[in-house]
Amino acid sequence: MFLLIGISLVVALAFLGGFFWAVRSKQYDDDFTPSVRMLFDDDIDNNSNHPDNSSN
Amino acid sequence: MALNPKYQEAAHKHEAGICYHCGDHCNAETVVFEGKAFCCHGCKSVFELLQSCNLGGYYKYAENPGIRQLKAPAQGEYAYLEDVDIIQKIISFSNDSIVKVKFNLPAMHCASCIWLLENFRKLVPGVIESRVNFIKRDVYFTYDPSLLTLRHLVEQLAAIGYPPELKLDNVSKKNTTSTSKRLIYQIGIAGFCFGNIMLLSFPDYIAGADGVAFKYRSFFGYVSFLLALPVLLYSASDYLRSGWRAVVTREINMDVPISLGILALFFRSSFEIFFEGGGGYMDSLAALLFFLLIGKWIQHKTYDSLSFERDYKSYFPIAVQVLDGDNERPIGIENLKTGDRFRVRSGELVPADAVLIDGIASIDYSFVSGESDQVSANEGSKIYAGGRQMGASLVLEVLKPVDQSYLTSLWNSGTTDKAEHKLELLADRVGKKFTYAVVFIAVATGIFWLVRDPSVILNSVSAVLIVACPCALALSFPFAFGNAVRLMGRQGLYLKNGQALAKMAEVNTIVFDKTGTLTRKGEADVTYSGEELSEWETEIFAAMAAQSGHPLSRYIARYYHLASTDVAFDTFREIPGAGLEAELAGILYKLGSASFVGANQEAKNELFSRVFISIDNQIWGSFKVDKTYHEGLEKLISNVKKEFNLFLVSGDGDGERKRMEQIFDQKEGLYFNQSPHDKKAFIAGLRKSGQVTAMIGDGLNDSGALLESDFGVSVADDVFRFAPASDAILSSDSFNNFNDFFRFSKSALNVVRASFVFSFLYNGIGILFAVQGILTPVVAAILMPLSSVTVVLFVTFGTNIFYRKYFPSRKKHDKSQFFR
Repeated sequence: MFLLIGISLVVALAFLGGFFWAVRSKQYDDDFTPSVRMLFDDDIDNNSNHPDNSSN
Repeated sequence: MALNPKYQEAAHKHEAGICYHCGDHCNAETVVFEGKAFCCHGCKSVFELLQSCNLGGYYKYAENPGIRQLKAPAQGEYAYLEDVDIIQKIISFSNDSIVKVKFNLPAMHCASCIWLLENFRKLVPGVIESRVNFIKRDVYFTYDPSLLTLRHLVEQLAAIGYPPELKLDNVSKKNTTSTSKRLIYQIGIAGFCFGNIMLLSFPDYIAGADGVAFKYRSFFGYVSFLLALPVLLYSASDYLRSGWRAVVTREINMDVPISLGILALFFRSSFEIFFEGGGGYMDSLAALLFFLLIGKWIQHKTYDSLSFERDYKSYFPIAVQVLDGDNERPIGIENLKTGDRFRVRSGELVPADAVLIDGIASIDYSFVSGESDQVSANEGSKIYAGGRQMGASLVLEVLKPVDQSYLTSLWNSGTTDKAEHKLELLADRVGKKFTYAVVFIAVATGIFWLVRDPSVILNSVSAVLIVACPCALALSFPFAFGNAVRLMGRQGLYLKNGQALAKMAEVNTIVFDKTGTLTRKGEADVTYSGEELSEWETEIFAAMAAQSGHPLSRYIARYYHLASTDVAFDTFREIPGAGLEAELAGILYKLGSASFVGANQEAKNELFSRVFISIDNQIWGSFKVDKTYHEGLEKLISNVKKEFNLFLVSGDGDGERKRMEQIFDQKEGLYFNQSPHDKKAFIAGLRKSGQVTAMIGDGLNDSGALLESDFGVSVADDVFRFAPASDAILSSDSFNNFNDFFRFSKSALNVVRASFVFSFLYNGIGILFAVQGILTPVVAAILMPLSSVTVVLFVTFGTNIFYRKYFPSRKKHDKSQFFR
């Protein structure tokens, strides 16, 4: 029982640590740009290097 | 590649006369290139540049994403970026191979902007990486200093229409984010502890704990205690500190009963855990802080991209060119010393009070005084900081360093004495009464049990303090105001925070500025009367007007839709304060004031300005320039007048007094020729007499008054250009809803008042248990979240209902235009 509670607290602390890490690494600072960034197509000039891309 | 059909359509829109690059209406100057229309050569060359670098994708992610090239950056405008000291101030990191720098680009406004800026390395060799933070309009560049200089990078950005904000306060590198980060950490800790303590307290909720649960009860208690420590010491620290300060300064506020509640909860629970083997109320403590901090966070959450704290530093350049013998070298303006000689180019702000050494000054002081007319000055005269030179470049000698100029004194004098007569808000008033009531009940309970049964004194008194903790009360403000601030933002009024709304709701006097507030900025009705002009003559006068920076000339030029022109005059002279004179093919054309042109000035008390023209000294006619007021202004003012005392303070002369008397329907309370200091003093006077005063203004000349007022609103066409420090920024297209905003704020406050009924009800029930000394952890654990949740739901629905009432079917304010 003591062990179980200890483990559960450690797991919870790990999540708390994860949250702090996310805040510290500025993931919450800008919640708009990444949503747009992922929609950008790859470079057009790469098409010549990758014939597969130009077929569709 | 797949194009959104909508944008494909846009690509063929050029027949409609829309510039492919910036989306402006094309006029006489339309440039057609590769089958696309451009409004000017500037836009076309940006398009060409992007095409040549394979960055045509710019036009794919948004319609006409570009920014119109208003003026080409002057040669050497960014020369100061080669100065090592200045570079060191701007960049955030550098070593031999890379330099990191952050720029604020206010022109950024759409997905295409992000795309272009993040692909900047293709446009400018030497850029290694660029990352955009759209919310803050920031770009982080990493570049190779051996391939690229900072100056070149900035020049390239300016060339494609994204000139970075290189102003004094951007480079002072102050860190404002740390407080909000701290709050987020506090919420994280409180939430974490809340969840875990809740699990550990579960056995306590199920009455008659027996078996396994009972065996571990004291262990659970110790763990809860450990978990509650960071909540008390870190998450609650701001409340405790503020509560303590309030007690010391005898300005009792809501934080006092909250702190009392927190402390009572913690010590009572610790006592139970260590001496009675119980579970305590640590779960309630963590939950309380978790909710409170979330409320605080909502209250602080505001428009990240808006800046409400701008001061003069936001408008000043970083550096000026100082003349050092025959050389010119850039110097940071804070290093300007008395006696330094420096150059100011056309369109630049004068950063320090100075004497004119060389050149003819034509200074636009609208930034300082609000007066839109230009002041001309000859060599030897004094030029004040904040003036914008409109003519050719000048050489000035510094009289006073930047931080001692007249303009700076305007800012600094306002900030110190404001705290003296601070407005006592509803929250503080309620908090004060509430605290006294709580202390009274606690003492009464103590005395009662002292007589009856002294053994339960501690128990019941601490229970009273716990239950009386005004959690729901403290939550209703941030949630109601946070929601209302968000809703008003939809309609174009951007409040600084919930506190600003609390002040707004108590306003009873409104003071208006005229120019730029009641009038629309940069717009005027121009009508010509007199002898008819031929097409050629029209073009000549339009061309003359276009070459001048005077506001009246600009109105006339805009009337003819001419931004620049090809008419090449033989001679062209601008006589400051008088008019323009041009000669072409032996004919003399004049445009200007009546005395300059030689016309008889008619009645002086006209409600508008007149600009006369003559051809070969023959009076031809005149333009009537009538500043445009907001549509429906009279109706709006008469509505507002029913609920508020109105005043007008204007920096302009009283040429429009008659018209203002008509609009305001009152003869008193309209003041003209007011300097910024007068405006500020006027507001201070109103406040001293006990009026809760709102100031509605724009521009730096109102900034002192905006700061001085209880609730300062600056009216802006777009947020990035001009918004002095204030409590709220009102988009000028939403000016007509002005009255509704104030009504809505009052309703929001009423919703909060109604929510008090709920929270008092809960507190009452809780106290009923507490005074009898029978408050169990279960009751506390249920009552506290329940009251909080009801109050939060109540105020959120309440404000939404009033929002619908005041803004029934109105369209959402078009943010994209405003934020552009």
